[in-house]
Amino acid sequence: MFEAQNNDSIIKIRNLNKWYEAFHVLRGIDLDVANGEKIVICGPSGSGKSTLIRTINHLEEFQEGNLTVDGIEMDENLKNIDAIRQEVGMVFQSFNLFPHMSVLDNCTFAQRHVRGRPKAEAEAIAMDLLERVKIPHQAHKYPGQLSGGQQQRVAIARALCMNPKIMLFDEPTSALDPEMIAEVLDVMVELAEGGMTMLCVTHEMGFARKVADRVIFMDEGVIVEENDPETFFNNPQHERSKMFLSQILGH
Amino acid sequence: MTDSVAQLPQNVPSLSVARPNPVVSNGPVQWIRENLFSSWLNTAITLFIFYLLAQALPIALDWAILSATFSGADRDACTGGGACWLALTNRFSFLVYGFYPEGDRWRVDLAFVLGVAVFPLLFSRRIPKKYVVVYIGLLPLALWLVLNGGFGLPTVESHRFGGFMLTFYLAAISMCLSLPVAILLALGRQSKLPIIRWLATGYIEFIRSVPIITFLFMASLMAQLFLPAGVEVDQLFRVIAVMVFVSAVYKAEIIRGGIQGIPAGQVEAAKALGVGYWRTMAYIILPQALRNTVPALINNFIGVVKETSLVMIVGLLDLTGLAMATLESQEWVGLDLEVFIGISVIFFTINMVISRYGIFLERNIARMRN
Repeated sequence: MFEAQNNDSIIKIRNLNKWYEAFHVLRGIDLDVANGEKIVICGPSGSGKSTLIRTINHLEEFQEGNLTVDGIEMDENLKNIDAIRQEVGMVFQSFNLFPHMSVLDNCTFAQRHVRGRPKAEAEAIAMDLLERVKIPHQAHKYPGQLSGGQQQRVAIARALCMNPKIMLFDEPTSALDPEMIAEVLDVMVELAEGGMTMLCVTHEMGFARKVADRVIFMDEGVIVEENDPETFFNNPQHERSKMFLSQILGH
Repeated sequence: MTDSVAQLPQNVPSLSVARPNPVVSNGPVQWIRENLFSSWLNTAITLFIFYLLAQALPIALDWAILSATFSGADRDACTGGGACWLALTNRFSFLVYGFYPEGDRWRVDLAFVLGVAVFPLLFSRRIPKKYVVVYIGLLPLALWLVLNGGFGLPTVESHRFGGFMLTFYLAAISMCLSLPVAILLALGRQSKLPIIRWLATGYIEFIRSVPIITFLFMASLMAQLFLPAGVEVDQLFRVIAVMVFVSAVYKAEIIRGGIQGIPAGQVEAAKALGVGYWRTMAYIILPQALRNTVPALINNFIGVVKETSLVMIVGLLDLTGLAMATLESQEWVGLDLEVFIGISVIFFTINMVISRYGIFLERNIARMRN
């Protein structure tokens, strides 16, 4: 199913299996992600796509298989889990900003407590990134005072403050009002152009065409098809992919 | 503000003109008309209540103040026909300081100042919360040193504690110490480690199923049986321990409810940033959980203040205990009404301050959310 990549893959997943109780949610996933590669993962709901990217920073455990991130083997060793989490940033569907902290504190908290950066340095980095996601004026507001699109951009800035090597996006625009999707996607496109390794679970096909090196289609816990976006959208190889595309592009 | 990427051009004409809200109501006359005389029935109820107040207030006022006696050598001075407040005024310092040695009463005053100083700290927006937390954390120790002695201050034995100072001492220490214990219990009950979870759950379930009076009796009467001969733990210390470790259980359940109300995404976001368990709890989860449980925690604090009266049954004479003792003395027997009104006013004042603080906190939190 997958083509063996050269040895500079930053993420290596081999025969990954996960069960929720009796439900076999990931079934023998193999995936290599090259440094700087942008991957869009799509598929019907319940196909295991979110679960897959959530195993990469151990928000979900798995029962069988191997997962290596930036040369660190994922196991039950808390040190390895922490080390991997420091290399991997994540953006969630529901933003998950800390509502009791200002935007600036959201961005500096982990820098200060995990990276041990002094306050001034952390704030300078945070302001720089808030500038990049185009909301420096909101730094002293609380998340509840911002629109959904602004909150999601803060969430992206918060993750970037930790200087991750990989960014995971779990349906980052699914909870947004239509007019706010563009502002978040703009930021993600810019990030992709800057060379970040990205795995995005999303149904934004315009975004996939624009930035993805590879589109992965999952169904029932299996990677059904992976291809470059042009081939995937114009000439899907698998019956399931065809049906899925006709459903999301059909109207 | 030009922070939105997808923004409308500036010169798009507005579709309609905003108007001010046409319903304007203010002023006391308006308020009275809307709230007291809005309908026939409401007018009738209002007038009836005014009539009752007009009948009752003069009588109460006359009894409590106009015909009452506030000073005099002894009970024979109470000749006005109204309330005889002498049981409170003549024994004021006894009710406040209990049996505390007279020369050392400045230490009690100092303790009151230390305790009351918490409120300006709590209400202040300028003082960093860190210092407030440290102050409250050190307060029990400070009170213990000031009142019991140490660091050069002569020891005052705890059986000399009594009256309002004992009430204050028990309430302040159990409020300050039970909250951290409660937080640990709440976290323990939610722990992924089975042994810690079982211990915390078992402790909480056991303690809250047994009346606190039982534990007070056990601590004061039976504890000696379990200690090696010659070892004696101060009675007051044992009672405080019971109050802390019992009231912590109820707070733990309140806090656990608050923690469960925080969306799972908060912990996930912290994990994804590489933040460890204790920091996630201390900076992300507990601040939100405690905010959400302010009304219930304030309720519990008020309960603890009132629960201090239970120490009476193990022979410690707090404010209520001394008041009862006063009523049993030959000189003041029969003045139940005056004495209990006095005590009620004191408890009401304390709890009112705590309650107002709760309302202040809730308003602050609401302001931050918007």
